Formats: sequence, C-alpha cells, structure tokens
Amino acid sequence: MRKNLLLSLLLVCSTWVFSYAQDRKVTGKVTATEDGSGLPGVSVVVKGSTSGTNTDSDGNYSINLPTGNVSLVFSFVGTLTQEIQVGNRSIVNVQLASDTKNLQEVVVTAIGIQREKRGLGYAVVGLDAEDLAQRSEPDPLRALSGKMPGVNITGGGGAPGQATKINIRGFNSLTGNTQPLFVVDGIPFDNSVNAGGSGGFASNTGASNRAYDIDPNNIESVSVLKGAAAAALYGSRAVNGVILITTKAGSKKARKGLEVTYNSSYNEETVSALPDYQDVYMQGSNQNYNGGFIGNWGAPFPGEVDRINQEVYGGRSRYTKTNSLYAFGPNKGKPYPDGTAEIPLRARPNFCAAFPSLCDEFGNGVPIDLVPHDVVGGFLRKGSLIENGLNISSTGDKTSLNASLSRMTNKGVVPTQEGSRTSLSFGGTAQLTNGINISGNVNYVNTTTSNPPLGAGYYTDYGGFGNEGSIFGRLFYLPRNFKLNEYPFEYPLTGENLFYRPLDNPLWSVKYNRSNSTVNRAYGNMTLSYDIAPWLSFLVKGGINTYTDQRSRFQAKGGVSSPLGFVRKDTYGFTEMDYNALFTITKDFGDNFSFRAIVGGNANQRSTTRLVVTGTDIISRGLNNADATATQIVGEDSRTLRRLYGVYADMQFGFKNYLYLGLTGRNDWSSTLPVSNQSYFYPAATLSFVLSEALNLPAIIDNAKVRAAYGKVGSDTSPYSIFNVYPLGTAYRNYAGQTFYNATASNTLNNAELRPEFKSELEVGMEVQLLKNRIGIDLTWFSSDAKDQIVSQRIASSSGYNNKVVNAGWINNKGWELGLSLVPLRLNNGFEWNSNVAFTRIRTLVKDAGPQGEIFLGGTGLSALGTIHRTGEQYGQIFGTQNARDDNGNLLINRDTGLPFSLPSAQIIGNPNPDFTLGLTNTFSYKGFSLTALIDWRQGGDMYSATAASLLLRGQLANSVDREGLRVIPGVYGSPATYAPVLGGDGQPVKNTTGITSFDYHFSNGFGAYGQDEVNVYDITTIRLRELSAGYSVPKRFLTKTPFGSARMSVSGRNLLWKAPNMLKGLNFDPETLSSFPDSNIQGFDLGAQPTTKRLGINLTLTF
Amino acid sequence: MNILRKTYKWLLTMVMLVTLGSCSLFDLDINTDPNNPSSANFALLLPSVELGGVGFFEGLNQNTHGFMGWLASADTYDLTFTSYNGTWNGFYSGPMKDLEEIIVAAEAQGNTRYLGVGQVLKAYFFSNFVDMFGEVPYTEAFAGGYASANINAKFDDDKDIYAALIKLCDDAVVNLNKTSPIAISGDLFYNGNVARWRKLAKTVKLRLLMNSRLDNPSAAAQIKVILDEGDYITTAADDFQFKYNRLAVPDGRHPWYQSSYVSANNAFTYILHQPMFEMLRDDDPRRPFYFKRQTSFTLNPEDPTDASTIPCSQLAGCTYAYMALNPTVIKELYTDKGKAYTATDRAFLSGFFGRDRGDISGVPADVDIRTVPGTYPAAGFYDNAASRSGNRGAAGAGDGISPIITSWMTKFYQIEAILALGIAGDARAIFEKAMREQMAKVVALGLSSDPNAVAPTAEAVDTYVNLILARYDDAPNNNQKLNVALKQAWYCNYGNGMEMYNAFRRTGYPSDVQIPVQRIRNFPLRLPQPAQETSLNKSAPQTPPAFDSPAAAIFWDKLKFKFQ
Repeated sequence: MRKNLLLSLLLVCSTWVFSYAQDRKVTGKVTATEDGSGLPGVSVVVKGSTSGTNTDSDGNYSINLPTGNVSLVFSFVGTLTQEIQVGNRSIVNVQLASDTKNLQEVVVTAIGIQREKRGLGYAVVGLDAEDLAQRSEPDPLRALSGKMPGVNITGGGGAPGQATKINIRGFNSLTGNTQPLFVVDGIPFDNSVNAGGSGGFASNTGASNRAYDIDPNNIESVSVLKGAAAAALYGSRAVNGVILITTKAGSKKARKGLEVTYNSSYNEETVSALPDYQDVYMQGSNQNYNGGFIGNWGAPFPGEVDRINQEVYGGRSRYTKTNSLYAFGPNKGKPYPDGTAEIPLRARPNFCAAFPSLCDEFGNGVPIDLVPHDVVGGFLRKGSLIENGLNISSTGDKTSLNASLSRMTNKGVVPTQEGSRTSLSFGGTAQLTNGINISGNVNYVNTTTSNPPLGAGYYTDYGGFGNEGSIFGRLFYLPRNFKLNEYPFEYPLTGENLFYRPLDNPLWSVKYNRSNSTVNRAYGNMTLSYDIAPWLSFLVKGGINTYTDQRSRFQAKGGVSSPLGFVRKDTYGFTEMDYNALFTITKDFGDNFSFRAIVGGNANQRSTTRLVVTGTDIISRGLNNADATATQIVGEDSRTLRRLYGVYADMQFGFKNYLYLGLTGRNDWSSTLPVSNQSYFYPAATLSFVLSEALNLPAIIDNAKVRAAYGKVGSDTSPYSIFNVYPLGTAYRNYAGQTFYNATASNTLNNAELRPEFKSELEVGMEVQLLKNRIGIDLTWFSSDAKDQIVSQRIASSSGYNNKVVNAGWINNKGWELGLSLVPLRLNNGFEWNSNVAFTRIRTLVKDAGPQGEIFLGGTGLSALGTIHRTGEQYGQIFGTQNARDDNGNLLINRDTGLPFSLPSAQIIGNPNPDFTLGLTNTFSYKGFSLTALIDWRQGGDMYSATAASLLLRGQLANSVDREGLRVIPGVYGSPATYAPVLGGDGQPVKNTTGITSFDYHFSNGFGAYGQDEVNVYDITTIRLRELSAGYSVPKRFLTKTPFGSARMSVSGRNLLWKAPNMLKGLNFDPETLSSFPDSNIQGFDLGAQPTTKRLGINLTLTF
Repeated sequence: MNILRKTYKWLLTMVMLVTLGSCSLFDLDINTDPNNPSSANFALLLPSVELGGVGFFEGLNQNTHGFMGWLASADTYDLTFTSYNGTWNGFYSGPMKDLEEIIVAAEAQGNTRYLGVGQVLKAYFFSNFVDMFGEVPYTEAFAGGYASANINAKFDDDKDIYAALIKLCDDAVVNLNKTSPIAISGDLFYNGNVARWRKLAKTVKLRLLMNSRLDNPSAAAQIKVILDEGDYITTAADDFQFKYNRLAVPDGRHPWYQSSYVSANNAFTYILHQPMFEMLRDDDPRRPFYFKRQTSFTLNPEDPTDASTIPCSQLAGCTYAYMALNPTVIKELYTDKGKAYTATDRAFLSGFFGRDRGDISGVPADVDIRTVPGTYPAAGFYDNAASRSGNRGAAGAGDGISPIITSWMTKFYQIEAILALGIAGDARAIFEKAMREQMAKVVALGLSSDPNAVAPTAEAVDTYVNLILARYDDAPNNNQKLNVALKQAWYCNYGNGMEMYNAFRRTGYPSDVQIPVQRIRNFPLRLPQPAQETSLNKSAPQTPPAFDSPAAAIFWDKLKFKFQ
C-alpha cells in the first residue's frame, strides 16, 4: 500500500516548475511520517498564488516567497495535505502522513497516467513488486495467478517457459485473439506465441508466449485495466483488457541517493504428481503376456501369480510363471526360467548382432526379470530454477537512473530441458534546465528454451497427426515391466533409435532431438514532456519493441517418426513502433469544480517477418544445419505490416471531492479494414460518487464509493483478411523430373466488406473500507457484449471454401468480481494477519454463433472432438461422441459385444468454463517475519483428459487391478441400427447381462480412449496451494556494522499441494494445462502434454 | 511571453520530429497480401487439381479395398459420420474448387482445351464422388465466393448428377475437338495430349453408362456406340493413371510405399489372406509383385507373446488364420498338389502374414512381420526373399502408379457389355487380352522399381491365363462367366478399390469373397455422408439413411447387397 502511495509520475506532479524571482527564500525537506524518508515530487504552493515548486528526489525544496505572512501548502497524492504558516522561518521541514483512506490511492491507468482511485468510475487492480518477486515463479503471468479478481490465468504445462493463457473478464472473440494487450513502460509489448511455422501443439508444446521476456523480479508494479471504459484510450487492442507493467527501469519512483539491490533464488523443481500405477499385471492383452504390446492387460507379474491363483482360483494354476519360450537352438520351445521372459528388444531387427551380450549364441534374447519398474519417475529428473538479479538506482537533484541486470536459468524435469532469461535494462529521468522533462529506458532480453520433443502425446494414438516423436506420446503409458531407463535405446554404431516397438524411444529423443528457441529482444522508449502553463502540459512518447525468435528444431536420422531426420530453422521477427503525443489540461474552477483532460493522438505500426526452412535427410550425423541436409524446402517466407492511428480525448469533471464524471472518446483508422470502414469511433463514460465525502456515514465506514461506467471499444482484424489469394504450393517434380509450379485457391473466403467489431461494456461497482481499514471491499458487476465480430466461420466445404471471414456473432460476458482485503488480527505486539480474497465469477454466453448457429474449432485433430461455440451455450464447449442411451438415461448395450455404442452424431459433452475461481492470500507478519500462502480454488468446469483415457486404455492405473472376473456394464440392450432399446417379450427393455472382460471394458468401445469421448470428461474442480512464502527481514540494527542496508531471506514454494477431487481416482493429473497455445480459442482438453511441476526454494535479497 | 515563445518552439520541434520521422505511419494503403498471389493461371491451377484429385482417389482407395476383401482397412464397416469429413471437405475446397475456377475462366475466355480438360476431370471425379456418397452438392456447389454467394448448396439427386456428367463428357469431346492455339501446360496425366483427353472423355462416359446400365434402358445402345467407335482407352499408352516420383523430400512416392517402406514403423494396414492364398494356390505370376514377405520365422503358438501376435489367435471363425500352421491351407497349397510341406515351405508360408477379412483384433507388435505391398502398384520390393521392408528412408523406388482407368478396365467393361447387355463381341478373347495387358504392366513396373525383380516366364503366364480361361469356359452361363471375369478383375484392379467396389455393387461379383469373420455394420452401400457437411449445410438432408441400409444404395445399385 505504502508503495502505491509513493508512486508518482513527474507528469502529474511537476505542474509547478517555474518559480518567479521573489523576495525571500525558504528551504526545507519533506519527509514521510512513517519512515522519515524524503518524499520527492511533493507540490509546494504558496497559498493563494500561482507560484510553487516541487521537492526534489530527496524531498528537498527551495522556494522564494513574497513578503508578508504567507502559508505553504504541501500536497502529495496519497498523503494528507498540510498547510503551514511560514512566519519568519527560512527553513520549513514537513512530515506528510499517508492518507489511510484507500480511495486516494494512486493507480496507473491508460497511457501510464496516474490517477487517484476516487475519481475512477471503473475497476482497476494493481499488484506491487513484493507480490510478484521471489515466488519461485519465473513466468510473470503465472506469478499473477489467483491474485486479481476478473483475471483468469492458465499455465500451459511444466516445461520451462511454456506458454500461459490469460483472460480478463471472459472471452471476447469466437475465433480471434482473446489475450489482453500488454503495455510495458507505456509501450505495447507483444505477447504472441508465434506457433505456426515451427509446428503446432502436436509437435512442440514448449513454445513460450513473449510476456515471458519480462522478469517478474524486475516488475515495479502491475495494473490491470479490465473494462471497456478503462481501456478505451488504448483503442482497438484493448478489447480484451490491458495489463500495464511498470518495470523498475521504467519506474519514476525516486529513492534517495544510491541504492543497490541484489537478489538471488534457488529452487528445486519436480513433477507435481504421477499417477498411481498398478504393479500387478504386465504387458499383454486378455491376461496373456506379450512382450510387444503397449498395454498392461497381460498376465500377472510372476510375483503375483501365486497370490492370484490362491485368492481367485482356489489354488488352481490359472497363471504360471512362464512367459517366454526359447525360439532358437537346443532349448527351442522350452520355457525361460520362472519369473523371467526374453528381453523384449530381441524382436527388433539386428538386435542380437548389435548387442551380442544381450542374446545367447543361438539368437535367443537373454532372460530378464519380470518385475515392476518406476518407468516415469526413473525417467524424469529433479529440475532447478536459479535467479539472480542486481538493481542499481541512483537519484540526484534533477536526475534519476536505474540499471538492472538479471539472469534466470530453469532446468526442467525432463532430462536436458532448459530455459534461461538474461535481461539488462537502463532507465532514467531528468529535468533539464530549460524545463523539459525527459525520461526513458532501454532494455535487452535474451530468452532461450531448449526441449526434447514435447508434443501433446494424444496426437500419436488418436488425433491422426504424427507428433514428431514426442516423449509424452509414450512415457506415461509404457508397460510396467519395461525397464526403460536401463535398456539400450540406440544401435551402437549407427546411433539409430531402438525401442521394443517401432516408436521413438523417449531416451533416444532426449539425446538427439531438440526444439530450441533463442529470442533477442530490445525495447525502449523515450518521453519528453513540458509544462506550457501551470494548467497545460504537453507530452510526447515514442517507443520501439522488437525481437527476433530464432527457432531450430531437429531430429536425428534413424528415428521412426522422421526416419531421415530433419532440421527446421524458423526465424520470426517482430517490430512494433508506437507513438503518443498528448496535452494534459488541469484546471480547477473555484473550490467546487475541477477539470482535467487529455487530448492526444497515437500512431502504431507492427510488422512481422518469418522464414521457415526445413532441411530433410541429415547428411552428417550430429550436424544440425539446414545446409547439411539432402533437400531444403522453404516452407514460409512471409511478412506482414499493419498500421493504426487514432485520436483520443479523455475528460474528467469533478464536483467538490465526491462526484466525478469521466468522458472519453477515440477514433481509430486501421489499415486492416476495407477503406470504407477504416475509421471507427467509440466512446466511454464513467461516474464516481464518493459517498463517504458527500454524506455523513456511520463512523465504522472509513470510505465508501460507488461507480459506474459504460464503454465501447472498437477493434480491427488481422492484416490481409480482405482479398482472396492463391497460395503457391511447393513445386512438384514428376517422375520424369519435370517441374510443375502450382497454386491453389485459398480455402478461406476473405471478405471485402468487413466492418470493425465492437465490444460494449457496462460495469458498476462499489468500494468500501470499514473499521479503520480492517475490512476493504471492492465489488464489481459487469456485462459486456462483443458483437459483429470478425470471425473465420467454418462453412460447408461444398461452398468451395472451408472458412469464411464474416462479421458475425455475439458474446455476452457477465460477471462478478470481488476483491476483499481483511485484517482479521492486528495485535499490539506487531503481529498482523492480512487476508486478501480475489473472487471471480464469469459467464461467457455465446448469444449468436453466426448464421450456422455454431462454430466448430476442433483442436484435437479429430473431426468430431474439439471445441465448439454454439448459439445459446457458454463459450467453447467440449464437443465429442456420446454413448447411446434410452429415455431414462440408461446406457444402451450392444448384445453382441456387451459394450455401449455411439450415437450417430457428436454432441456437447462438457462445459470447460469454471463456475467461479477464488484466490485467497493470507499473510501473517510479526516483526521481521512473514508468512504468505496463496490458495486458489477453481470450482467446476470440465476437461477431456487424454491422459486419463490412455492410462485406462493401457491398463495402467492401480484402480484397474480387479481383472479376474467378468464385468457387466449397467444398461439395457439396444440396437446400434435404430439407437432404441431392444424390447423383451414383455415389451419392456431388457437389462444387460452380457459379461465382458476388464480388457474389453477398457480397451474397446467402453471406458478408455477407444470409448466414446464423453467417458473421458471430468469435472476439474481444483483446490491448490499455489504459493507459499516464509521470510525474515533482518532488523536494521543487526546490519549497522555490515555494508547492507537491508537483508531478507525467504523460503518459497509453488504448486506444492493440489487436489482435483472429481477427476479419476489415482490419476493424480494436474488439470491446469492447455490443449493448445494460449492464442488459440481451444479449451477444455488435456491432450497429454508435459505435466505441471512444483518448486521449493530459498531466496535472498540484500540492499547496499 | 518568453515562455510562450519557448513553448511554441519546443512544441513545433516535437511535432515535427514525430511527423517527419514517421510520416509513413499514416499510410494505411498497405493491406495487400505480400505473401500470396492474387490470381493464378491455368498452368498453376491444373497441377493442384490433378495432384489433389489423385490424393482424393487414394484417400478412399484403402477403405474400398477393405470393403472388397483386400485390405484390413474398414473391413468391419465400422464407419461413422466422421469417417470421411476430411475426404469430403478436401474434395470440394481443394481440387474441385480449383477445377471449377479453371472451367469458369476457360469458358469465359473461350479457351476450349482447358475447358475440355476441365470438363473431363470434373466428370470423372464427380462420378467417383457420387458412386461413393450418393446425392451430393453439384449444381450449386462452389458458390461460396460468387457474387450471389451460396454456402448452403443443395444436394442433387445422384441420378441427375449422372445425367449431367454424361453431358459433360459429350461437351468435353466437342471442346477438345475444336482447334485452339493455346496448348495445355501443367498437365501431369497426359502432358497436354488432347487426343488422349478426348479418349478419356469417352471412357468416362463409358464408365458412367456401365455403372448405371441397370437403371438406364438406353445405356446398352450408347455403350455400343462408344465401343464401336473405338475412340476410348484401349491401350496402355492411353491409361488414365498417375505415376508417382521417387523423391523422399517432399515425399512424392506412392502412399502405400510411404507407409510400408519409409519408416521403421510400417504403418500400412494388413493385406487380407484370401487374395494371398488364392494367388499362391493358382500360382499367379503376379504374386511376388503384389506381396512382399518380411519374415521367414514361424511364430510359436505356445509362447505367450507369439500366441497373441498370431493372426486370429483370439478369434474364432477364421478361414486362413496363420497360414503357415493352418492344416486346411497346407492341404490345399501342398498336399492336394502332391507336394510335401517342408520346413522351407513353412518358412516361406510364414511370410504371408496378413489377416482374415473382418479380424477385429488389436494391433500387436508385428510391423516387421506383416506382408506389405510389393512392386505393384506401390513400386516397393519384389518378393524374391523375405526381408524387412521398413526403415528404407530415402532408399527404394516408390514411383508406383494409381491405376485410375486403364485399358484392361475398359476391356472388363466390354466383357460385361457382351455378357450382360448382349452387345456383340468375343468376350473370351477380350478377357485374355485384359489379363495379359494387366500382367504386362505389373511386370514392367516391378522390373523398373526393383533390380531383383524377375519377369515370369511366358510359360508361367500362359499356364495361369489358361487356368483362368478354363474356369471361364467351365462357367455354365453368361452370369457365371461374368463372375469369373470379375473375379479376375478383382485381382487385376488391385490398386483401385473403387473399381472393384462399383463392380460388386452393380453385379454382386465376384461372389466368393470371404465373409467377414466379424463385422460391426452391414456391407456399406455407400459411404456415410460426413457430419461436418451435413451440420454446416442447411440444405443437406437432415436424416440420411444409414450407409448400410437399402435406402442408402446409389440409384444404379439394384442389388443392394447385404450379408445374410
């Protein structure tokens, strides 16, 4: 809180720059009551005149006064204003106490303008450095998770740097972007994932979203503009809300003198949980061992044979310990020793020649013990997260400088998996002698990730995609008796892949196959401002944000998914320029009326380039360069360019200090729309009424404010959506060597009559502080309508096109956001318990999914399983196949198979949207100790889990060990031809009595991956201990003999405990996962990507 | 006023800096796609049509082989409303859309050659499409981007489409007979040879008439006109076929080659046992060209792993099962021929590792054991010895063919016309020619794709041809003779499942294809119309009959075959 109060922009506070030569001089220092530190930027005004000054960065001021008995008024946002009679003094020192009334807190709003909360008619939430730093989380988005009402954040998975999805107040687009605009130090900051050219979710889920380039330890503050009214000034791109980040380098917070801060963290990272595997049955099917199978439906492990024979078969030898026979030599046909089987790799071509020690002289594989192995746990490793940062800030009279350097390395839980981020930044402000204020900063970030193939494993088996040898295609589903971590995984001389089936061995993939990304990003900005008159200032700000992501994917020769091996170089470049020029007018009319206005213009240009070259057939093993391959194909060489400019005005009228009316308007011109529709205007109005100032409220109410806002945001589309094109194909060479160049009409029908899309939003809210700020309530209700959206609508292909770009659709987002801050306990000895609640309940309703009534987005590779938007339903439903049932809901069972069967068309089988989310942060502090725990709770929402489906199918889970009897699926007999129950002689449905084996129950059309999609949908209500941090700040008195100004140590943990009670028992699958990159609208699927991790670490912060 | 002057000076400087430095920022006329051409000429579109058309053909080829007892692909008829979403969508938005653009533009420009070629291609592909799906959008298709856009194309009656396609063939002949200064380029089938395109036009018409002969009283007369004129595909040089290349990158090899030979994970489905068994029994000279053995090791049914790898080991009712250990098979192939069944024979027979029709079992680790396609039509390996097929990467040939309409197919049409429609001709002589033409192509492709391939002796070919002709002669009536001929067509048309599937639905021949051991649905009389089209297209029939119910039969299918 205190920091918020101190936050200050020179822009706002430097209204008084010029003092006129006067009669006498008074100097002094303004300090904060709380800690005695100098307060910079405090306005010092001679009462009743227009002359005044500001304190410098140490809080010192000097002012010339006219003769006579004058008073000085010291005011500073967030503090109580003081008026002091100077008398004869030449030194006047003042202490300003912070105004505990929360409403005077300052928040950053559009264009970086700081405002008192009291005047705002909309909700803004903010977080400070201490809410984000050193929380065992290198991803700035995930560090925000659970802390802000109205904001939903979903991590994509557990790979270092893996992308994260963030949504503010629901979803505003059916097929387009739903990610908010990021603004760092006043300049837009691209947060794309840029999947595409380098492969989709099937081939690499490890891609980052580019907000990952921000080090959470370098963040000074985060402010989230949620509604249309709050964001209107950002224009088109704010339709999904805005995340405003102020970095330490971009911060204008001035501290006295020189401060050097060093922070360091070390965390250990492990996989968050593993399934409860069964270790009773081995690989095979129908209780027969088969060393070549994937599933675990084979005979019992030899160690279990006696027990099962005894317990189930009354001592009869239903099972034996014989599982292999010799195939060659004198023992041909004779069994391997009890409890062993032939090493399953023997069946692979040339195995005995390559591994003579694993075969006998006749070509039989050596016997191996049939015992269960910890396949997954033995494969994954302990990862780590190391963060180090150095921040230097120095403040002089007229200048301040801030430099920081940080480095993060994150070793993932998969062997060889690694990510890193190195950032350098330098920023400063200066007040030049001619009265110009100048500020700016430059930043450089280098972010790298390096992963073995991580594609979502689902695609291998069910989705119909090759997934380029993902280790997650197999790892979790391998036979329990398979000694993955000790068997050889490559042929010694050739380095070719070796596995018991012709699939890529995870160990081989880890050793030879990679997906690398190196991002070099530079961004910076410069601001010049000048106060033309006491009531008028001018500011111009410009910035550039540019990066190049050099990706390289390669797979060695000799694998299964890519036998020839390949090298794919993908270079993606992005550059954004953004300029703003604006006038700020601040004028009071008498004591009762205040007026402030911003009038400005904005110009923005974004350009991208992408070059994807794939070289196939690697010539020299280990040389992973495109030119060292037999054939290279340029898959993509593209560029895009888009521009947008706009003019805007933002006015606020204040009456007394309790009623504020805000009016904003903006007109944009976008290059991406047809010429006739390029220009569009959108307004917003806000109202804020501070009850506690206007009325005499009971004493327990410290503050009360009600607010309302209505706003509209217009939005353009992606470039080149207007005209139809004929993409060129890869040149075809026929059998005779003739070359045929070719082109094909695009499958997407573009639209030359597109109009901008608009979102309008109404929000009302109230903020109340009670009982001397022990209770703070910030409640908001909102309803937004995104209409006339530009969607790529799936149309019947008989039209000649698969998609049509149209203005269509209507999404309504309605919701409640509640922020509660409580101080349940505050003792005189300094003990304090703080509690913060962030509650979000959003309903995103698709009121119109366009003329077809629905939009199927797919997302799994299958044509009947995926995300669908349907008119009248909530956003993004899970669509898939369903078992046939009778009118009473009984499953219909095929009498021949004893299994259920599918309805003739797919249905909506789940709603992935949560009922609500709640984040609860409790902080206990006592003297230098503090303990913070963030627990979050996601209630409801469904997910199709391919992990569950596969583990069931493969007979892996501990809860599937009951296999010896037959099972009868509850239901009635039905006809697969008519989908109606088959009636018995009495005209009544007939109960199913057909028994099936546990293998058939899970393996065929029953309850596993081959069953109908609905059986693999689970409610993913989750309660999670997301963050835990316990720290100790060493008292200053212990540090007096040391060079340190302060020292703090803490222990922090992340994702330490979680419980998803409604998921499949024993699955232990953390449902916080994405089924696609965050810029996609697919939701509600776990497709078997890397599971989440947990971290536990220690942190140290020192200042000098 | 000093301040004011200073202010303006600064303001002016700043504004100038911003505007001068970025005046282009206000130019919004930049929305033309710099990455893709805004138009394409015929020579660029035609290869897309032809390549896409072949892709469509091969997309259905395996399943129709499955329906007809050749491959374990959809051989239990477990088809659903989602099975052909991709096939259908790709057909309309891919090659046929580009073809439509060619036809519309060629017609507008009076470019008669491209127009004629476009019309033939449309007639062929749509006839194939209708044969598979029945009523489909035709007259209103491709209208999504037209000035009066229609994204809900009506479904036309299959019979009406057939009539329109026959007309299209006639129009194509007229157009191709016109003189035109513009040569056809970008043609992967006939390299712009107009005469061959004209022959194809007449052949497609012949095919349409033959398919619909039971529904069309005038078919016989029209067929006779085409046969008498003789200007249709009669020699191998005229064959409407696609020949693949040998390139590994981008992989342009025969799709069966790609799945059987490139990766260590042989992803090709099982070849069914019946054709393997019969070709062994009859000493069919094509056998080593059709099937490639991978193993000579005999699995041990006592060993648990082997036991559950052996075909049909977990299923009752198989005819062929694991041939190497099946006494009935051994009797017919060896004992009955007076030959002893030696260890060498067993090793040989162990390589014929496929499946019985309708064996629904899961997939064991047998990709190094399964019999895979040989040199015909995929240009894989000749079966001179058992060896592992997979993991060949860029090695091997793969420049096989998709036999779409060949000279032997037209001969089988002719045989059917003689035997069933009473058109004059020597069916037996034509039958012999058809067999020899087909075998010549099989052998030629084998010799060019595998240096180890050995051409069968003339004696072996003669023996086989005479065996079949004897069966033909023994057949008591024209119907049974047609059955013998179409059984031979069943072997000859390996590589073109649609041709077998059409003949079977038209005639019920060959009548001795193994009855599936298990089937999930009945025999498909057409393919299920995909849900994606029917749910998105408001004009689509909302309650289409099940694909295996008599109501689903194509208009020309009077047999409406059903397993009893």
